[in-house]
Amino acid sequence: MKSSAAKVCNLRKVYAGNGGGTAALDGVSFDAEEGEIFGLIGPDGAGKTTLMRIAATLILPDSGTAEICGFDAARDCRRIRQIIGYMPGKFSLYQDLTIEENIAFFAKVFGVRKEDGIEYIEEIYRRLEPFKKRLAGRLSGGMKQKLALCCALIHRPKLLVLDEPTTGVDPVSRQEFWDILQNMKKIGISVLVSTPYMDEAARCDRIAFISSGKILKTDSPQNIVAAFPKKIFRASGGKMFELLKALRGSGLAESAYSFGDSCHIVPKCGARIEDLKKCLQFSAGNFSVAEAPATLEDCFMELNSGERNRS
Amino acid sequence: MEKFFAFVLKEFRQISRDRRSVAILFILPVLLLLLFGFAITNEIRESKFAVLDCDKSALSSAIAARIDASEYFSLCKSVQTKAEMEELLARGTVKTVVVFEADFEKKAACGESPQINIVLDAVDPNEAKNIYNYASAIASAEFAERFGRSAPFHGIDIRANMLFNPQLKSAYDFVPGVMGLILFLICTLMTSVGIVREKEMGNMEILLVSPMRPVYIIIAKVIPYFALSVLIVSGCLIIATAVFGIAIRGSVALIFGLSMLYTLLALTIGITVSTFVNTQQTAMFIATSVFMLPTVLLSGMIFPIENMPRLLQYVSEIVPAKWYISALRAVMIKGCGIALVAKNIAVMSAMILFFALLSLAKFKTRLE
Repeated sequence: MKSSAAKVCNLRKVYAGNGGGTAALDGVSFDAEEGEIFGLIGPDGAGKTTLMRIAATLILPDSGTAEICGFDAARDCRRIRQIIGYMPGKFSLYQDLTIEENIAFFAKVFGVRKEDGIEYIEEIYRRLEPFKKRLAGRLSGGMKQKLALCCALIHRPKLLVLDEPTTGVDPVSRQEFWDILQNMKKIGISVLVSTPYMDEAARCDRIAFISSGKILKTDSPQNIVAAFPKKIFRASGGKMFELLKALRGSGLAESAYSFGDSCHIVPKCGARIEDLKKCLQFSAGNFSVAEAPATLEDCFMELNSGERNRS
Repeated sequence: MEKFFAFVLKEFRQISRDRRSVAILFILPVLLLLLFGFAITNEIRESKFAVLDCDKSALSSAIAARIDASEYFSLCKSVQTKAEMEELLARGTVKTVVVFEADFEKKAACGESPQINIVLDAVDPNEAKNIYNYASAIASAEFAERFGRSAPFHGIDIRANMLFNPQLKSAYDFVPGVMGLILFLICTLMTSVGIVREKEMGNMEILLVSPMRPVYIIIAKVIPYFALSVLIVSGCLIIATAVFGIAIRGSVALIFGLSMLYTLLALTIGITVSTFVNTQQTAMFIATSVFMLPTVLLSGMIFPIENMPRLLQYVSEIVPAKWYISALRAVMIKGCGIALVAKNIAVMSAMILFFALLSLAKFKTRLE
């Protein structure tokens, strides 16, 4: 069995606020193995940032334990701070320093020679080098994120903790970023990453769905999709609003979510695709309906509504 | 140690790139000094006066000439009648008329008190009082040189209560005050805002997750401001001597020592503020309202502490600038040695200790 890069057990964290406060984390447990990309997938406000900050030793949980690379996050925070690289959700480098100065500064702070550090992050740095005299505050979202990754990697951490690294970044840069993460994995860095994007979830080795401070499911993306218990029909080509209205009236669908220009429908038990086609033709016009494989998003919606019904 | 210097270097870079703070750091002290020196001044300079000499003796004209010769007065006209005198004052041509009585020289020779009547335009009472003081000081000096005794004029005693500043030169008063204000402003405001900015921008979030100890982060943060304070103290002293002609009577080393101690105090206060607040705005608000206002109003910089109500006098005891300004005045202007300002040094040291312990107790190695 592989050892853990980040193992958290029954974490609870309540932020004091008006009216008693709400639980940001409500008994969260998972075990991210060494050498894998472990993704924490959930909507805004699910508790991702709180969890990442606990993993980065920045805040203490109310109860439960977090073990990072074998060290206890509460007691051994100084040890952990030397072996992890952390990238907060908000761009946190010095905006009034240049790319070069930021890298030089963080190299020194982490006790690495700048040259050694740059050699290590060469692949990413190469893309930044033409702009090295530019102030960090004037960079595009994608470049800022690459620079932040450079600074988080400069001391060759064992574990990268990335909190929503691709929020506010263009699609091409997001692709590039995930390619870089795959390469990091190849040289033996474990990655703990949070994201609200389902397409990114598919690029993780294992993911944990999180919603309202609770883990819904932890597994590999493939297994999660394979375990989806129901059929999915996909309807497209027409006005989405009318489609949803018609479905609601028909009593055929258990749930229906729009995904861009198409709609994923989870049919009620026994409802056939023919029934659905007929119904839609009557009331909503020209739709093409076909059975489709479940996506991670379908799985998340299903698990999330199941959780909500239970509580 | 290398980490530490990297941080200090970074800090200098950031300061030099932030034009606003550089402007504050260098222009403000000069501006304030010049403003207090030239614009907001109640000093007397080349004030026009007239003479109504009913004696026309050698002594009376010698005294008039001496007043005219000083840099504070210039003789505008000699008048012959009271009506003429009153007209000049009413028109505002002169602010002052010096009147010698008819038997002026004769009385002086007999040992009686001769009378000089200084008639003043008292629309601005402070200025009038100043003019009266200057003129009578000059006249009595002339008188004393001739007769070897100080004579009372017009029944009003000229007291020697302006021992260290007989001409009420305001520069002696405001230079230590402005230094106390500037150093406090730069150190408390800039450090608290600077540290809080790292929190607000999220920099602290990364720095905390690094091998660098938070205490070093803070110390490295204040070093540039400390260095700048040394420059500012030098600058203020140069302006004080070169522009305002203040003679520094005490030891320059002691002045710097006191200033460093005071700077350190202001820095620890700045750090303490930064541990309590989370936004630059709040930091600025607290630094200005809680710390700046008392510094301006209660330190004795502008309003003399002796004239305050008893309660405010007690409050002024805990205003850091009070201890610095009074010590600086003592050393710079009266030439006191270290023994005479020992109490000030002790109080400031105690304050440093208090704020250092407070900020250490409040400092967090985590985010919340």
